[in-house]
Amino acid sequence: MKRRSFIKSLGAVGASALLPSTWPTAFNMSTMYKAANSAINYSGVNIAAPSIMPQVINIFLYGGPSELSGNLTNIVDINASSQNSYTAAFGNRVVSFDDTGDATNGFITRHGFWRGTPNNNNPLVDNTDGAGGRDMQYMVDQGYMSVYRTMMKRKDGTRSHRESILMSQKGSLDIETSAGVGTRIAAMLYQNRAAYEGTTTFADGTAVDMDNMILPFVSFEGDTRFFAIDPDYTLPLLLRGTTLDQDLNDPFTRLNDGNAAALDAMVARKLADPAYSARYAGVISSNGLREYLAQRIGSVSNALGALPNVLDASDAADLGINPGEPLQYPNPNNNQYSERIQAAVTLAIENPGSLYITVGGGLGGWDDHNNGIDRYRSRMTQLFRALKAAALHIKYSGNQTNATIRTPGTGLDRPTDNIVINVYGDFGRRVNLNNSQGWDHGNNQNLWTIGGAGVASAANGGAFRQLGKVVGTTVRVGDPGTNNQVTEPDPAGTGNPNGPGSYEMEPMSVAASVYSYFGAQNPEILTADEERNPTGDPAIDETIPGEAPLFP
Amino acid sequence: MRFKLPLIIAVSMAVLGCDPGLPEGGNDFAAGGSAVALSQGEFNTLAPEQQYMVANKLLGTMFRGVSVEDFFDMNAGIANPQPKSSNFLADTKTALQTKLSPAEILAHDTIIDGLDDEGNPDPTVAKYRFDDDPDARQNERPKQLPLARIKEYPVSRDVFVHWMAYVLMNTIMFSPAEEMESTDYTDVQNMFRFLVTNLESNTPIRQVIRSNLSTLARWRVSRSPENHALEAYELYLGLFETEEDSYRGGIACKDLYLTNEDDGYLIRRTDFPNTVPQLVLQTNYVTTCDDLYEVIAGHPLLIPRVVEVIYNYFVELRGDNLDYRRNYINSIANSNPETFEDIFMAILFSREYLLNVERPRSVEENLMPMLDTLQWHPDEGAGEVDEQIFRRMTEFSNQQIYMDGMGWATAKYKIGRLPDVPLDGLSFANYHKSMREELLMNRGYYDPSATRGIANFLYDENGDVKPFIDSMSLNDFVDYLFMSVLQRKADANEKADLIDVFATGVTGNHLTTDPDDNTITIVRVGRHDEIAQITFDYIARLPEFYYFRSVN
Repeated sequence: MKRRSFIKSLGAVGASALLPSTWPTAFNMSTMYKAANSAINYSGVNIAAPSIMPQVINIFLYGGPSELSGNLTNIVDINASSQNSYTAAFGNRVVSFDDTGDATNGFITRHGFWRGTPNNNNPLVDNTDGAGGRDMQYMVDQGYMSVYRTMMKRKDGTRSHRESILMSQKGSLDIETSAGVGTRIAAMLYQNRAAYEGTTTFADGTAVDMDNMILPFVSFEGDTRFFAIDPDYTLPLLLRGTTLDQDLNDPFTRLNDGNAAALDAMVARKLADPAYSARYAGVISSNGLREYLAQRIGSVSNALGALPNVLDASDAADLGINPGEPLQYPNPNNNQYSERIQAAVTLAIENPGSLYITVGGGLGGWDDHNNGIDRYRSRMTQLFRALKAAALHIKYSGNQTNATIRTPGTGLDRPTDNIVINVYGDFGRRVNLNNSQGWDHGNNQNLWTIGGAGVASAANGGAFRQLGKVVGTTVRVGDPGTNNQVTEPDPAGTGNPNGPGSYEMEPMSVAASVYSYFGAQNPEILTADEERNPTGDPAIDETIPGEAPLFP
Repeated sequence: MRFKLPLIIAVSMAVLGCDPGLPEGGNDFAAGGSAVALSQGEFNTLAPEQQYMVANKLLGTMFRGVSVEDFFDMNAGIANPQPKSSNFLADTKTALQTKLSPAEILAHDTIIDGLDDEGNPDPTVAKYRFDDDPDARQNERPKQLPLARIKEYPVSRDVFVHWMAYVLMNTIMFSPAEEMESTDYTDVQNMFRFLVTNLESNTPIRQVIRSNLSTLARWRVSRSPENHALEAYELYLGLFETEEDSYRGGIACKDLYLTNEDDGYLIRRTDFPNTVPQLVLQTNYVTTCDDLYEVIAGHPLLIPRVVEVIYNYFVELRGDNLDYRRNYINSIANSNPETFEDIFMAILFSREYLLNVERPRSVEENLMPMLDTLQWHPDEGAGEVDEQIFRRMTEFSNQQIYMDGMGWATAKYKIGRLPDVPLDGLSFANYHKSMREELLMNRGYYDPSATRGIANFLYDENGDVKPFIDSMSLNDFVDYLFMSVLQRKADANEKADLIDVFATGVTGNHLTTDPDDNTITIVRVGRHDEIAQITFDYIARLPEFYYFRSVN
């Protein structure tokens, strides 16, 4: 039974006489249940295994951040059309270029990011009248990051949090009872293990062995749908998603375990009964992960806190330190993102076997229906300060630019340019500043993608990822003076492979790109849904040229 | 004047609408089909052990439990246990419909809170300790007191109402979303009291939801007119693709807004209400927000949606059968429930739930019932499960029993708790560790010295082993321990293996021979608690311990 059929049966409950005949199909009532579509064809993925396994950190901004921090290119039109004035709320500089580099004339950076005024005590850091634009611009200028401004849901334009989150976290329009992105990666790897084993190594040179993976799929956000199980595919325990906290604490190890051997032998006898094991499979799996983590957590947690030295003069100058001095993340007392991002990056650097790491939740909501003036800008400023530190943490922990560098925590000799950080959320927001000084749910959003200069993919014609650019152009659409105003890909732009207009992609393309980093030549097959998206979505075309700066 | 007193009481009762001590819920609702109630006769045909398991499933769902000693006539022994009552189900149902008298409530509140003559809490004589932060916005007591009342009140309508309110407060429909920037603990308090008041008076579901839509607590979560409409469709109708309807609903509500943080996040009105009728949900024209509320509250999808949301918390979602789910939900919704109590009663007492449903228990459903079955008392300083238990569960983030660490915080999540108990590695590790190490293996709760004048499940008020235990065989004692915690007896292998551990385990030999018959092995004097500790250590390792089990 498809979801809509189930909706129909529920919609009839207690109300059939009142319902118009069209209702059951017109409305997508509820929620979590439909029969799964046909099983995902992991065997059908064509694999060209990479020589080094990529590592992807996925930072999900729950609630859906406004795209404005990374895209003020339409702000003059937006300001003129908004029910409430941007210049009144954010000051006149929000509609002007920062053509002096110190925000004297405006807050709009060369690539259209929203920066703020330099802090009096530390002019290398912007005040929170900006929204992270200074650090965005720096990372683009240095080639640490690219920004894709036109991630637009055309196939299903829902503005519901739930539907949008699941669409991104499952990389599919089939959001019910289906596997998460992390699970799909794991299943793809496991199903095609022969293509990897003997061909691919982890970044430290260790051979890939699917039977001996160490924390390959990790969530720093608790139970997450990124690792939702595949009802049609059973993964080995070690390839399932598990969870750590940002302090890499150890609740996994049992205390007072003197009788462990005898008692565990008793438990093993119970579990040997297939009926018993099937009955309590959920907790058995969880306990297996607990035991596994109890064995592994020590070596990982010991590495937390070790940071590399910043070597290049440009980076040191940007941080206000001398070359050779150690990197520091922003003080967690002033930055709610610092600790969790540092933990995720540390795990990726010190454990090359961690392939897909999710970070989100507990990071403060981005659902800025109200009070966007203060909260939104502050959060964006904090987030991108932490992300810049993460980019440098990755850069200076690997041997790709300096053969003598070892990882700061455990001394691994490895490159780190296989580590990618993707940052995005549920959706973008409307651009009308509403009466509560916030923005309601929209659609088009930014993808910020950092690092991974050593990662190639078929989607890019086998070339490496291209960083240091901003892709996609937008226009404001909607009736001026109403709440119904958003940005959308510019129909007069370039780069759209399907016709005129700006390059754009669906949220599922983020997942498709990640699959392609792991060697999938036809990642569409993993995003396809026979009912609603039979052809699936391609990986992001990272060869699209970047937009020219707004000013020299 | 003497004749006036009965009159005053009679008038008061008329005003209160209740007869203290008499059933007043008067719940005549009966669901058919898959949700038909388990009869007392059917219950009585179950084996005594099964009756005990079902009894604790019923009470455990409401965070309560019944001890072996209270359920069975211990004079008959544990080998062939005899229930004390042949009317347990009916009596429980009656109890849940019987309100405590004001004097009884006051007496129990006095115990819980140590109320002084003026009704103010006095921690020095209170049984429990709660957050005492003088700033109501920061005080987490509203999450703690409901749990204490559920624990301390006799099983009654008052417990039932508090529990229903607690469950509802943790659903997406009524979550005060304490995690959000625009909410605080006054919203938790207000939402809980709103629910208790309406549940006590059996307010119809439609009316409760109608009332809630206009509350500050709801607006602090939705925050803008358009999102207020969008969330109303999602939360109460299960409609997730309502872009145009949300926009138009927002127009109807456009004269309402939430003030910013400095102004206290309050609902305010502009003087520019909408005057143009807006078509929403295909057939309804609304001009004002009140019009929209009426549409939501009167909508035919509302009752099925409410049934579905509640149902999801009681039947495991993972991989269940779609037809089964639809039939069960339809069985209740087709029976036209009018109140939340109708729905809760139908699920709780259904044959399907009591006999067939098998799902993981939440920490409240596991830990709190055991406080009853182990006849626990919150002695200060015994460990985390002490007089501050409810603070530790809800407030102290460094505690093992802190529910947030299990992905199961209360009143926190904007979307409510997910229906499935989190079983990711980190959440389960915290859950397992809290149950095993903070309660079951902590002999500080049940060794002879812990008794302090109050009996527990092993010792009487003098610290002596209870006579019925003292007279048990070793095998029967193991069964008693299993029954107390797992609601089943040990199998032969388990008994043999455990007795071996009692004799040879790392904590020493806890067994000896009967002085009158050296062929009989008995518990060494003073070692009942240590044997309990080993047995509980084993049980905590069993996956079934974390489940409500099916009989069949």
